[in-house]
Amino acid sequence: MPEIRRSLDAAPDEPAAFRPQQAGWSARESHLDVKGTLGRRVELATALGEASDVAKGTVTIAAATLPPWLLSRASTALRQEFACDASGALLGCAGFERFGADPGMEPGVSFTRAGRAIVLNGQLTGVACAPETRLLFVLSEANGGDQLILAVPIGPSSSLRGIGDGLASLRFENTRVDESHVVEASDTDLRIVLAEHYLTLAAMARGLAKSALRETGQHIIQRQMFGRRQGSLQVVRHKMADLHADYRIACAFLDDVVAGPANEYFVRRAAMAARTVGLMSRKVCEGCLQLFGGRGYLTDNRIARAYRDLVKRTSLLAPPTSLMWLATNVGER
Amino acid sequence: MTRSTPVANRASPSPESFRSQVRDFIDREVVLHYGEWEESGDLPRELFRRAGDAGLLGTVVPREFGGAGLDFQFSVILAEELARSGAVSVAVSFLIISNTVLPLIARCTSPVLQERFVGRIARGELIAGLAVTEPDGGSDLKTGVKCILESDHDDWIVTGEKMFVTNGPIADVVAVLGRCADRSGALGMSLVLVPTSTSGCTVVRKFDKLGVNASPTGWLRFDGCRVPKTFTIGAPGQGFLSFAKAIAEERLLLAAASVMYARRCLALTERRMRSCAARWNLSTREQLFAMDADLESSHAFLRHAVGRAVAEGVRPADAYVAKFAICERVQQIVRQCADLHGDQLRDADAWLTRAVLDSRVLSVFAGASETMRDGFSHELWREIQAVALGEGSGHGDAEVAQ
Repeated sequence: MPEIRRSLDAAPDEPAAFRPQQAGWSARESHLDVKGTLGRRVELATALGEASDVAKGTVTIAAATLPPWLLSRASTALRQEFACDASGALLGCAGFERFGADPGMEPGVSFTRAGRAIVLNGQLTGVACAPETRLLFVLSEANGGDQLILAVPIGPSSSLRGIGDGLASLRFENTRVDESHVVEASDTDLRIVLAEHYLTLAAMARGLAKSALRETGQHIIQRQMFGRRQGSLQVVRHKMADLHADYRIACAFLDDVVAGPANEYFVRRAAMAARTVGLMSRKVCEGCLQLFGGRGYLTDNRIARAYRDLVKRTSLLAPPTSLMWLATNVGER
Repeated sequence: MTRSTPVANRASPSPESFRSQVRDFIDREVVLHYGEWEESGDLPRELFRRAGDAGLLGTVVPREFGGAGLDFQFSVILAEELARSGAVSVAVSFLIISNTVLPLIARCTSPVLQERFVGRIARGELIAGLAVTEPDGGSDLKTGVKCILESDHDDWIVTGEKMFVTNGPIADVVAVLGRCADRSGALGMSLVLVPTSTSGCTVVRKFDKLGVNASPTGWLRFDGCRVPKTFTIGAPGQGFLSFAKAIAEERLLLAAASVMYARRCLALTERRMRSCAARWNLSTREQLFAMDADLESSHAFLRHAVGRAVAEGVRPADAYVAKFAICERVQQIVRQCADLHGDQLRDADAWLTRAVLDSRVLSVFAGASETMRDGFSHELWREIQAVALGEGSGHGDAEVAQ
């Protein structure tokens, strides 16, 4: 079984200790720390999730894996221009959840060729990027289903909107990009990097679930109901047992995939793990929210906010179609 | 390997070679006949002898007692391979011997009993069963066991009835969990090995079940059966604790077997769906992918749990999670496989009907799901309380309370 190289495993310098609680909103500072082995990135993503900072975490993680790898495959001119951002600090990516999607589906961003220029039209929502993002890698599609990765510089004239919570909406109206901005990436390599990307997002979701279970444990031991502790009620204990069981099974799977060999099954298993952990985290947050009763519906409750973030970012955590396509054998689609 | 070479004298196999050995045995001795056994509702005694000769029954029994002296992961391999072949009944009948009764006797019994029974059971010359549940009880053993062990000088007088005794109708010896006449609670119980040839021991009924037909399950009556006290498994009063440890291993094994069984169902279902163009659509593929992911995650959890079990013994929390969460998932997946076939279920798909009925028992036997969930929730509650009171995480299972 051939070993497949992972995207950033060869990073020469192990990052310094990363403390998500201290990370400011500066993408440059936080992103620079998030590099290294997949295991390290997963560990950091879990810590970000535990800190319940989904907005920052999503942007940080989205920039940690895919954009630096894509930049390494871009033209020499682009690489030189954005060399200082190679860690992913000021890079973003969009539209990759459509990688491998059914050609019959309406594309997010379509492209046509006009001489040496490539013309983009369409709209993307829920793009994880920071205010400082300078270069965006966009997966665009032609009518026939062909897909093209383009490096699109983001400047004052770009139509980047709605970045307040870390998610942007992008509109392309006859946006012209030079042909030299096309990024050549093999299908197989892109699948591996996307799989790693989804694993780190899943790790953040795992962190959210972990903190939700911890807080709920503290809550049910303090809260009195019907003259006894809430957690002493069988129905509550059983609910917690179900949530913890799901959490343990999903975590074992995630850790297993991350620690396992990067062989031909890696992409498939990674997609499965991302799906399993994403669903688990939503189930855990939803179940924990319920155990808080009315308090779980208030936005000053961390679990309520985590639940809201997971609902808003559903497509980021576990886009099922993308994961399924990712999991099909290379070349099958 | 020859029939004349005692298992204890053979070199220890690697996990891979053991897996291959088990597959060979199943191909040679089980696959061709399994359908007939399911129809007749019985397993031939010769099968146990051949399994014993192949070293499959005494995997974890120490070599000095005639076993192979292998660790727990080899039992998992045996369970997985039997399930992969679809021979669930054989798995149930073998595992109750290899991983519950035999280890109990080998670990906890007097040398006299070890010499007299362990080797013969491991070789498949004697068939063993476990008699725990009673007609008026279920998984509530601490209060549900009414079978009385009355002391009479050097003997026990065993009186009571036991239900759902795996291998009961064909067993030569059964490990009976009984209550010492003058004691109550969990520490009032002892395990005693009772030869079924003992006067007063009768098979009241052999059950006709929904599935797992070939594994005989019976209702046994002990009417003043006199057995020597040297047949006590472990110290008197420790029967429930010994049983609890053994059953935790069995729960992990059943979960491992069930995951492999569901994989088989999934693979056959996928092959069937691929053969039908109308069925091979996005919805079907998504469902298959979701089921595959569920099984992969379950398998990953079990691999971690088995690794821990080999290193430090089975953690009760792992056994609980495996038994209720994973077995329930497997049930759901097998039912979903049947649903995917829809109105295309044909005579040739009888295996699938059998799979649904076989898998239905998963959440019922060896501790019902409700009991498992309750046991796990008590473990969690203790851990949460310990953390809240600043006492640490108790027995070191830090994940429990986060």
